[in-house]
Amino acid sequence: MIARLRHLSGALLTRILLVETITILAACVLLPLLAQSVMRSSVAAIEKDMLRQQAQTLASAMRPAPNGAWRVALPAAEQPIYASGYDGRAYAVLDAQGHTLAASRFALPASWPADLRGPTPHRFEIGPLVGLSLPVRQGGQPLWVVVTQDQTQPGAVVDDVVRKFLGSYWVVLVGLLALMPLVNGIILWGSLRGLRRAARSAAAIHPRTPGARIEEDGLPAEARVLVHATNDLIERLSAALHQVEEFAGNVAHELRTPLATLQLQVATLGDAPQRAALEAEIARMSHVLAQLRDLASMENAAKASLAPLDLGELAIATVADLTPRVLAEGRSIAVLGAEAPVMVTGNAGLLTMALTNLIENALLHTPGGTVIEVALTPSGAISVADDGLGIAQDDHGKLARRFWRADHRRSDGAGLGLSIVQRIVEVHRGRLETGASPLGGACFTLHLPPA
Amino acid sequence: MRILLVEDDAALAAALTGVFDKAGFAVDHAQAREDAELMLRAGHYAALILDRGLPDGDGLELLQDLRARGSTMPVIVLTARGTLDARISGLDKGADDYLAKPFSPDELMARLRAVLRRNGSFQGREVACANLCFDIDNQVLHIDGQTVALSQREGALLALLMRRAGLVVTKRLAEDQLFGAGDTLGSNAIEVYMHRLRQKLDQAGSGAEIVTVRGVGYLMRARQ
Repeated sequence: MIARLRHLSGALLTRILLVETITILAACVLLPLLAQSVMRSSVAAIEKDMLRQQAQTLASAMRPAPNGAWRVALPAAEQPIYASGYDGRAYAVLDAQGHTLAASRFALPASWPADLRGPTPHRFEIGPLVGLSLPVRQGGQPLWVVVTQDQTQPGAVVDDVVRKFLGSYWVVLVGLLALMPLVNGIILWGSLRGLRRAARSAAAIHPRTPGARIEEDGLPAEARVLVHATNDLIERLSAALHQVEEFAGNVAHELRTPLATLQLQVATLGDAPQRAALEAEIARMSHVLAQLRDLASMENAAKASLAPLDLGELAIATVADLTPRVLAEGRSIAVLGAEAPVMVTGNAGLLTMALTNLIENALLHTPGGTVIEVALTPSGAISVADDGLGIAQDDHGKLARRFWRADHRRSDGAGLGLSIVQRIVEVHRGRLETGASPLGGACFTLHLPPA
Repeated sequence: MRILLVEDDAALAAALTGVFDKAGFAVDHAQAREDAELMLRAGHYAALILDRGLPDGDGLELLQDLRARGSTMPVIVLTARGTLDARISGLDKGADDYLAKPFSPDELMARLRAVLRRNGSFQGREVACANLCFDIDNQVLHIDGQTVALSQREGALLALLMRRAGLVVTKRLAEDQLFGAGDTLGSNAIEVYMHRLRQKLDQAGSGAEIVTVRGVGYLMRARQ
């Protein structure tokens, strides 16, 4: 469950969808605010423009009155605007001292702030009113025409507009926004299908499979670069593995002739006390070399042809071949269950190699006097067991170490041999079982498909 | 008895020559295929011990030429390759036996004697093992100079074991050799003859023993 979550949180699709969702949520909050602010500022600009126009109309309607006063002679069309005080619409004409020279009926307030009377048009707000003072010169006298109107009214309109717009269109907006991740998700899911297929083909690759490649078709171009590079890597690794195996084979080959010389020379030592020890060491070296050679030939194991064969006949021939060595090393060997044919599907060369490895493994890891039993079952299994003679009660480690080596693939003999056996079993689509022998020692069983 | 050893590795050739000398064989040694060809044409050899990896070619080519000329000389091929495929191709090309390096001198000699006997190269058809000396043609067994009487089938069994002394004689091979196709035999027929043979050998103080390899066959060797 946790692994699945971790996988999901790391997925490209999840990441993209997450970023998109956050963006959409932020847009849902910020978009109305932004629209409101833009509309408010344009309303304020229009407002200022209208106020200036009004002030200019008023300025051009000013007529001198007796005793230095002024009269505003508005055209008939304009008069109703200031008649009711609706919307806070009002005007006043101020002189340099701040005295009101003329005003509409509902002009508010009675006294105006001094900073209205500047050299340039000035927008101001007093309480709920927004206004504009426009400096004019009339009859050589500096005057200011001040116009006001209620600011709450257009502001409320703006809010209403935004609210109304969003109210009727939010479904469409959110719908459109939500569609984006959905469409993106579908596109990505489709593109990633190629990647999933590539992953499956990569999982099926064995480094020894000749010409193994990850499927590049149907991949998005970005991913193809990686897969192509990976394919090149596989090729290089296979070549390296091939080289190593070939090298191991060559080393084994080169060492076998001097080792043969050594073995023949040691045999001439007569009954010298060192002879047995030297021969044991030579036997161990031969074993490792044989395994290196077998390992090198595993290269072609996958191509081996499988055919019906009598496992019993194969066991008898292999054991007969190894018997002189088994006896010379003071062990004995027997084949059980080979009286009647045991037909399996297999490759005689590879199975002989596997059986030889298991018997040599038993020879290498048991003391003199050990009985090695090669047993067959009619179902197509062959096992190599020893009686574990010499394994003391307090020395379980000896047995365990053999398996441990099998697990850790050390190069000191057993591990190598068992990995060869394992590989041969794989080629046969069989199964290698390791366990304790009923005789008391170790037991390795190959389960092979019946013919 | 003279054998030809074809081996390019001087150290191994020297060691092998020592082994053959000790066993009473005279050895000629060739280091390359070309030398070997000349020596084979010039002399008469009882057997050929042939290494595969020669400086001027694969030993198997020499073997093929030899067989093409109709020679039935026993040939044991030595190889450092030793994989099963190599072994099979060696036997296909006409080798009588095949030995992967390294090998014990005992095994080499056992195999050499076996191919020589199979080929009938041991004149007089007498085989020996420890204090046993068996005249196959006349079915006469001497142990320490004392004659032991054998039935015909006991004699055939002993000849089989002694020819392959040190090597396994599978039960199937023994059955095939001892009984004709028409013979119906019990499952333990070989065991019965083997038991009698063992008794006779033991009573006569044999220095060789017959080891039973259960489920596989029998092996004769000098008593340890």
